[in-house]
Amino acid sequence: MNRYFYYLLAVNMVAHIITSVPMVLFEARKGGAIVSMILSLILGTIMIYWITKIFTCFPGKGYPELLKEYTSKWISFPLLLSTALVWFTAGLITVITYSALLRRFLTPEMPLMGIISMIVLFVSFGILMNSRSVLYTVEIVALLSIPFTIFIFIKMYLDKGMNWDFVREAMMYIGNMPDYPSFSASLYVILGPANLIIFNRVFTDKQKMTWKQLLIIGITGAFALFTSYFIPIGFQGFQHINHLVHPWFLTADSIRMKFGFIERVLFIFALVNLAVSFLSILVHWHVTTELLKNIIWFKKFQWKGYNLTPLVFVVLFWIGSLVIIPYLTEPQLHTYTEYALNFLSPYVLVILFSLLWIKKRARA
Amino acid sequence: MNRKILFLVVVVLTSMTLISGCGFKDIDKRGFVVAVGVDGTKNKKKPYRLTLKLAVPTGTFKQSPKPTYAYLSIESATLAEGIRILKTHTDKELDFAHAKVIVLGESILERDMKETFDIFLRRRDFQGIAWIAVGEPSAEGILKTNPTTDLPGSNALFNIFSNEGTESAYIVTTYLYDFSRRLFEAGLDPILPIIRTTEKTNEYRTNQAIVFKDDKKQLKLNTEDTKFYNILSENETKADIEVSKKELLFAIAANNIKVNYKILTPANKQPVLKMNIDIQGIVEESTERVTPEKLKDYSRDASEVAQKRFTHFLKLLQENEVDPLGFGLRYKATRLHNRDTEAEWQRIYPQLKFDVNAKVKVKSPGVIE
Repeated sequence: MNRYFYYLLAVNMVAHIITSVPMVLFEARKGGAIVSMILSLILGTIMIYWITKIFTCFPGKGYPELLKEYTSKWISFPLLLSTALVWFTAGLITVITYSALLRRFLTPEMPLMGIISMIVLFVSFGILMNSRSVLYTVEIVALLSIPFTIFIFIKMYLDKGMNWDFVREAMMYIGNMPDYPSFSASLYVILGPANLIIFNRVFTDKQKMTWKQLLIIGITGAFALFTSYFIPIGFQGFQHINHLVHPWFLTADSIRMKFGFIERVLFIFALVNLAVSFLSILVHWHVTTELLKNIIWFKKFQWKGYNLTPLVFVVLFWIGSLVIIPYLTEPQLHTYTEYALNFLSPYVLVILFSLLWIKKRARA
Repeated sequence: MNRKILFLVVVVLTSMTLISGCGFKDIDKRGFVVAVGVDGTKNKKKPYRLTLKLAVPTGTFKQSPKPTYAYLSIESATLAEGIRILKTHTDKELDFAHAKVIVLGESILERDMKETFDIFLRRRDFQGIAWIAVGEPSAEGILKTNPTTDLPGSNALFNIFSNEGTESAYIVTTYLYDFSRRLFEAGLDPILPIIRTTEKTNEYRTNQAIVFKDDKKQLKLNTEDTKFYNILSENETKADIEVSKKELLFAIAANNIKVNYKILTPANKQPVLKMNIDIQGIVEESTERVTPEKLKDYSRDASEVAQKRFTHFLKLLQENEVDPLGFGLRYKATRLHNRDTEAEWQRIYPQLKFDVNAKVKVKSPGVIE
């Protein structure tokens, strides 16, 4: 696969730590969190491998084109609409979580509406670009921010305050049965390549998906899951970690860079994560607009030769975020995110099966 | 084209109204709190006495060769209320971004620590890497002490703990996040350094510590035991060991300390904690000539002494039922959780036997024989 595939993978692997994914896992820490993580790593990697493998058979074609070509309209319309909704929710979760975090840690005196508008304004410019430019943006921002993130992760692993006995205590619960919410939540971590449903349009060359790629997905996924679950436990303890509202931010606040420019790593972590979250929102909402374009298109809604339909979607996103976010309290946000994450893993299966069907019909 | 540019200019200008909402305050309008002190009072309606130490910014070094501080104190029902009222005692906006030390007075220690400490964990502007200490005789007294060695631009309280200034095996360093996890987790008890000051001397003495257990139980560690805690928790890899044997008296500067232990619970036998301590060091002071042949004897003597003292220290912790080194946590961390390992440990700890194997290796007699 070309390098953009890995950026898509990396964005989800880093961006998930500010969403509710680690919290869902911590809720199940005395149950089957670890087994669920292992299971979702294995199954998720296989699913992603399969989905990508099918897309490599159709270079330059996205999910909407494939659906249109090989299925009837009665099937493609609801499928595309529901996919767009799922992707919109995935982006919205990140917007909501990050605006709450920004208000708490970085800009406490700014009104919430202002923060949301700022994020959405920047993203709006991004989602109207063509898919190729979106991938270029992802590349630049990811290359600038992900090395910092990895540096912070390594610093955390080597820090004296990281108590490995807590990690081992957490590991002692490995004998429990897996549970569904934590399985579904940890699946989100490796789901980045699912964005290929649109970005495959840009991959016009013939791509290869072999066991090497499979290995890379598996190893990085294992590292990401291990990090996002065990580092906060090592710093904040095991028994009461579910009492923390922002476990990852508090963990970033627990390490100290003695001779760094800024002693509190929290602020560097917040900024770097802002960049990665921006990418996550951008990618998800770009996919949403592209999907919507295929089902809703006003031919006559034109101004000087430009079709203004995408702007309608952007306005919808604006209204969606500005209405929903101020309405939610933080615990509600967490609960709804959990519901959304629960819905995510069966949905990937839907995409996988529809793709398998398409492949079968294409061969016939 | 011109129209397009005009349109863009208008858009940019109107978007500027968006950025006016930020509550920016200039640095000379802020009062930077560098340390927070909490004491207990006898007044039941206002049980807390809150003291804030504010750094007063000065223009140049010549203007004030000594750092200048302002102090704010108040008695209040809750700490949050205290902070709000203190905001009316000053013209500056109180800024806790540099509040790196939180001192708890002795008088507050007997109360429920989780209750007292709640605000520091809940408010976002108290940092996770703030240092926590106990102040003797009172937190207010500690905050108002300004050592003569204090220079502008540095803070004596920060230097004690940050390892940028003094470094010592007698100083226990506890960060806020560490204190909070020890407070809430079972099997690892909170420990705090004690900073002492007297009215006559204008200096800090930080060489003792206090261990908490639940609400009521506490154990004060004396200077020597504080050092043993630091060695065994591997916080400090440099320490000194004094050995006296009949006429002979010598001191070893240890510079490489390794500690590992495991808890063995053989069936139908007394549970044992096996601890290996490897110490390497050089002779720092001796009352006699140290020939190379004697180094072996020195090593043996020092090992014996270390073994006895460490075992004694561990027994002291056991008798007082405190566990600052995290033995309970280790027990839970090495046994599969298919039964209540926590309750099991509560039964095991009082009858645990300590099998300490200390190996001191004296590598060199120093610069002279």
